[in-house]
Amino acid sequence: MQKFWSILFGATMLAALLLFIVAPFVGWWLPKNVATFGGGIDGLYYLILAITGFFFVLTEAILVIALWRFAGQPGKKSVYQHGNHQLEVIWTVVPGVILLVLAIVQIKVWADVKFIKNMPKPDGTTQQMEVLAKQWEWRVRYPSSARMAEWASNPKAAEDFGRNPHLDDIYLPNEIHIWKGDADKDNKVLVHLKTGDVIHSFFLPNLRLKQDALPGKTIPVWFAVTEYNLEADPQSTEAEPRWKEKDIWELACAEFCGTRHSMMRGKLYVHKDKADFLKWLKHAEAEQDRHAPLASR
Amino acid sequence: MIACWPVRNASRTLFCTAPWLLLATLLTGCDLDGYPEDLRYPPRTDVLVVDKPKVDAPREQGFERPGEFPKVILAGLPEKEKEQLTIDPANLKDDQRNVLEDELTKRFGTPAAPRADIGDAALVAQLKLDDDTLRRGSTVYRQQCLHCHGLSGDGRGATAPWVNPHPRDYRQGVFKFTSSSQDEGRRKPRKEDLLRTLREGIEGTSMPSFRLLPEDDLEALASYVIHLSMRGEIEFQVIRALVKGEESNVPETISAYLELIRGNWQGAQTSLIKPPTYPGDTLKTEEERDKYLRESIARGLGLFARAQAEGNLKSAGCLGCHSDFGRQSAYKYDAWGTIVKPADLTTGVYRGGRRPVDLYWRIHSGINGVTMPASSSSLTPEEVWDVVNFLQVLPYPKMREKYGIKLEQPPK
Repeated sequence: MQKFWSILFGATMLAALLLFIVAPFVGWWLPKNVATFGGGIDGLYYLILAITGFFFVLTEAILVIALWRFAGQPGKKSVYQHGNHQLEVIWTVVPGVILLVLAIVQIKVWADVKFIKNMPKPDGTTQQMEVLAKQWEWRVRYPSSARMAEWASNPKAAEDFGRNPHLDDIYLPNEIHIWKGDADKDNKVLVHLKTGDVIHSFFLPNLRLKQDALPGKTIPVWFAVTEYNLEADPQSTEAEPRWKEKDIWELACAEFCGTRHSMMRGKLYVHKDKADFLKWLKHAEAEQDRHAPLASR
Repeated sequence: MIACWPVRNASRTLFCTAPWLLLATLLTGCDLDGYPEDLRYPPRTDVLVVDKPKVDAPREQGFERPGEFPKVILAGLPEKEKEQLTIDPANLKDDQRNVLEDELTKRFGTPAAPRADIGDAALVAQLKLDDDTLRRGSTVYRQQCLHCHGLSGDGRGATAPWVNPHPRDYRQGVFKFTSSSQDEGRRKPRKEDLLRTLREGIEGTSMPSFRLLPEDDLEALASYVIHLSMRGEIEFQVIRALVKGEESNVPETISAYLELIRGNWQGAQTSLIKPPTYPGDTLKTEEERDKYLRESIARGLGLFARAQAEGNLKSAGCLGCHSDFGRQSAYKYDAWGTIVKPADLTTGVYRGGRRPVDLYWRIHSGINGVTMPASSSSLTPEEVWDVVNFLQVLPYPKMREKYGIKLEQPPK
């Protein structure tokens, strides 16, 4: 029974490995990617996973074999070794090279997602919103339909959206509404991310997007989606339009921000096209209207 | 445990117990099913603030430091005045306290099994105060609201001392942001007002939006808040009346106040203030509308800024409290005895909601429980709209420029 520990470790490791291989087939894997740049990020993730996975299995296998091989030899004297220069050079240089390769390989993906020069410009076609994170909600400000119409004819007017709120802007908590848009035309979304109190992190798992919000700063964040998740509800009417989600795409806070951090959640709603989005926006506007038809129900 | 037998001595103990400990930890987890069945609503022990002080809070008093609430009720007020404005439930006779507690439990149940035995089936149906809804409400309340608003809705949950503005204490029966047209003092919110607060949160405070909860749960939460508020207000009024010696028979006093409070809640549900059509909307052309808005904003600024009426020009007297557009507001006491500050209207953050109609309601009927007065008797609806238009432009630099409002020269 001297081999007990090696069997235990070996079996546990094997079980973990099996579980890991099975996971993607039973839905215990990454949420669906719907971002244009999500593939690049997933590619990096898989590359790093393959490298670390390979070395993890290798080292664990060596550990288990060593446990098996040298267990239960009563009376055998240990051999003391000062070190092995050659071996140390190898296990320093190999990870060093790997890190360097990773550092070079990731540059393009990182630059695409995070470099300001690669972000969409706030012009007439870019979808824009301001997201104010605060304990414990996301307060989103959208341009009104009139303001968006103005941008179409005068793209320069779109530049100050992040700095200059208008009195007809739409404010809604915890809901990110965008439309799918056409590639290279109007599918890019520019978010002006702010925080009202502590550090939060704007995390959209389906977009592989994560960005910290820092007090005192407005941080630009961009993304573009490849699919939509909102369909008109069969009960939808002109006066009271409704939608239902084909798929739930979550917005979460990814930086511990206080007692209710785990409840700081929202949803990403992607409309089929601009017309559908405007239908929603007009409904939200009606809510703010001076006649207040909805409030006087 | 099969795995135990080859392991010897000390490691055996550890090896055999560790998995069980781990399992026990995992299984304990969180109990999300609602309150324990034997839990009761605690009887009220904190002082009742029966009236708002007539004076401002001294400026050097400021807000209390985090963690000092609720020790600081009516802080900065002379002891003598404090005594006149508060009533200590400790002065209740023991038998009165017991009867009160029993009666309240009989009528309003326990946290796990709340009920609203208020003797008005129509109102129970209208506000959805039936047992099932309330039970669902108390379960969700425990998960989402308890840590700030407290077990009995006293606004003294575990987090409460650390946030300012403090969570609402429902037991006064007063809710700040309402759209009902009742007289101040008996004004209750419409259920829709409570639901809106739940959905939108209160911007500028720690009350977040609960928009993602299912509609049924929000409805149940609003019902449960009404339940806590009714229970708390009856307790409040009965303790007040008994300690003051106005009444002595507990069940009769409860019935009398129940009838009053019930009527107020019922009245609120059908008394929505419908603002008359916005005057600018009847105009045909864009120029006319722009001209109207320009003039309206100028009138609004005048109403806001004038200290007193000049000739036939009215004053809404806003600057009395919102000094320098609210940037230098004095500290005030509210009906709960805490210190609050009239809003800084240059920030564009409106706690009661930012729609024009929300601002209309605030100006029209004031804000309950604080010093913001109603203007419905002094201003015409059109004048209220003027002030709304002015306020909506005020926070935005480019808009101010366009309509000629200068923050640098505060109106005197």
